[in-house]
Amino acid sequence: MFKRIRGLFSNDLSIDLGTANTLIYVRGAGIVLDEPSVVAVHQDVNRGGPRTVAAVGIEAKRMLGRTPGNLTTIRPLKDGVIADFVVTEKMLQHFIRKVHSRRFFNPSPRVLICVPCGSTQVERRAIRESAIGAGARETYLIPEPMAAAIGAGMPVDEARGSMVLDIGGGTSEVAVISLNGIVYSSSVRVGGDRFDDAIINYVRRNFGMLIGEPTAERIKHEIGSAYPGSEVREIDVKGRNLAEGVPRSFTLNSNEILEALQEPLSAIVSSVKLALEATPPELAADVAERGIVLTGGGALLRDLDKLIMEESGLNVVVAEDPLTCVARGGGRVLEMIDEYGPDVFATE
Amino acid sequence: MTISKPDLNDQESLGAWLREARLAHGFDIALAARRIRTRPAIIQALETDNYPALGAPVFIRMYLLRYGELLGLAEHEVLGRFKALGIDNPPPLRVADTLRPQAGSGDLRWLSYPAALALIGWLGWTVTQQLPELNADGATLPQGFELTGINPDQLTAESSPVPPIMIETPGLQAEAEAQASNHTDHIALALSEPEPDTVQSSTSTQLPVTSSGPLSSRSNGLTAMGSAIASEVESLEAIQPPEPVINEHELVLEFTDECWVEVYDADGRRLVYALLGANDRRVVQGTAPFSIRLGNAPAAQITFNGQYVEPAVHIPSRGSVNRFTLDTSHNDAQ
Repeated sequence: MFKRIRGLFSNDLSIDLGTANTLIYVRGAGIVLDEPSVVAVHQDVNRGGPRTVAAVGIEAKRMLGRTPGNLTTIRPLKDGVIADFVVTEKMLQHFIRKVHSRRFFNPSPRVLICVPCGSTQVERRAIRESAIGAGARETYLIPEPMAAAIGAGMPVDEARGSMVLDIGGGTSEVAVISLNGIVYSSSVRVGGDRFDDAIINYVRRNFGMLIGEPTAERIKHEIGSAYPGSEVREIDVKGRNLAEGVPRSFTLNSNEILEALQEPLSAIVSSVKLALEATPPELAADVAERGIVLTGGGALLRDLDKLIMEESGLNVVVAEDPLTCVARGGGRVLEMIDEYGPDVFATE
Repeated sequence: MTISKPDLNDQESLGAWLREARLAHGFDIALAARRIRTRPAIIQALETDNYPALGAPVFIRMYLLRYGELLGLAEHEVLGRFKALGIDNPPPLRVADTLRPQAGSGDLRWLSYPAALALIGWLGWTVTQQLPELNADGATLPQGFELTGINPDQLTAESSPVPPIMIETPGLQAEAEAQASNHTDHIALALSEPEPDTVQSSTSTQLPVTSSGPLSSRSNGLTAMGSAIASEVESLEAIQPPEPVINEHELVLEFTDECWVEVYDADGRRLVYALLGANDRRVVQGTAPFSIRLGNAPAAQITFNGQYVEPAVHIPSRGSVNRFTLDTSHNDAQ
């Protein structure tokens, strides 16, 4: 009852609870929060007291890999699902309060959360419980590819097949959508984080240097590429030499990173090919004409569309503002839920 | 989905610009379509600015990017011209199931609140209409009962004189006067009896009366008598004169100890329904035969139409409780 009253003073939220970033979309206001899904937890080792949250989001990400003994930076989501329930709840609570600043009551919004289509019922329940624990009045879950397709502006209500590939931080989801429903979907636990890991492993193996996750991410953003191009870009990187144990500087180029990313990229391409094989023929014909739409942060990897176009033989386009497609699509679904009830778009 | 055709301004349209670029490269439409893995109709639609034929803006954007790339056009320039058309808004969401009600239940949910309030109000009004009127002191009389011997209006004002309650209770009047000093502040009002079965539970109502003021000063005798009536209200039913009955018979009950007594006459009227004490005497008149129940039969002495009834008639062989019927045959036998 009290939650309902508090709900009057809350905004409906669409949350893209991603492995790498959490985005929150508010109806009428757009994307109001885009922060890393990182929490810094403080624990007094001497006293063994309870853990307290020291920082969340951007502040916590700045601490990543640079923390003393009593501070730990945690990424509470792994492969698109919750790895640390308590920390996820705290993080969500922090974000929900942040987007409801200057309010007298604790917010109790209706929340729509996008979940990987490959997540299990247990994992979905954990996400739902986490949102309720963070103060949500009502919680709806929607498959990420559906939200991504809506956010990308695809006509999901038409009786024609539309294929979307959402490459997130922890998972890549490919789905064929028709008549507001998912005809086929598959999820591979390969995403931006695997790209970073692949770069770290490549540098260690080939250069004998150890670099951290933030450095690997920076390399990916600056010279990462999925398809060989005419232009070769380079970047200076500092890391610790494994043999000497001292920091050293070295140079990486885009072709090396392309080589490093081959394994995770081939996993994504394979999932797309599998999806095309499993798509019913009529819908496959629609997909062949309309192509594939890429969403998610992974879609920003340079020339990824070219790679998939080359491998699949279909047209591929990166959606406009692919990072926010899922959250924006969730926001539009929230409006539809108001009008048609929660069962529209296969929401739970 | 509806995408309006853009207005062509003085500048070259996007379609015309693409067409010029294609002709400059020497491509025909079929070749260009084959190069970008699409149908010639798509190329034609792009060059004639027939965007509604191309589907959602996300697909138009894809065709433009591929076509622009083929023609060596800068991506940002192609997208910039496309954005200038103002047709890049995503299509509106619609439900796929056309049979689904367009106005969901959530839209009408607000109606339930005023409806519930109206229902509660109607119920309250109905109950209020059904309730009996309250008197000035707040005492409520059940339906079917009415005050006798006193005008209720006279109880409302303390200064108004209160007429004495006139009840025929010859056997109790002396006892009532004796108890007058102990009982104050209450007036017992004898009520008319609507149904015999309900009398026991609601035969009297006690109304509080303030002890100061003219009402109490004028009615010492009244309160004394009223208190006596309150304590003996059960016996009032028995001694109230019943309706005139042809062939009435008289039954006299006397007791040497406490005894529960129930007496019904042939018409089913309850004449006695009370716990009577030692030395109590109760005279009832009614139509024979009488149906009698005695809780302590050995303590009772019964006289029927002036003739003493033998103890063997009403004293049971085992125990003390007995139920029996007295009729004129007892008199005839004796």
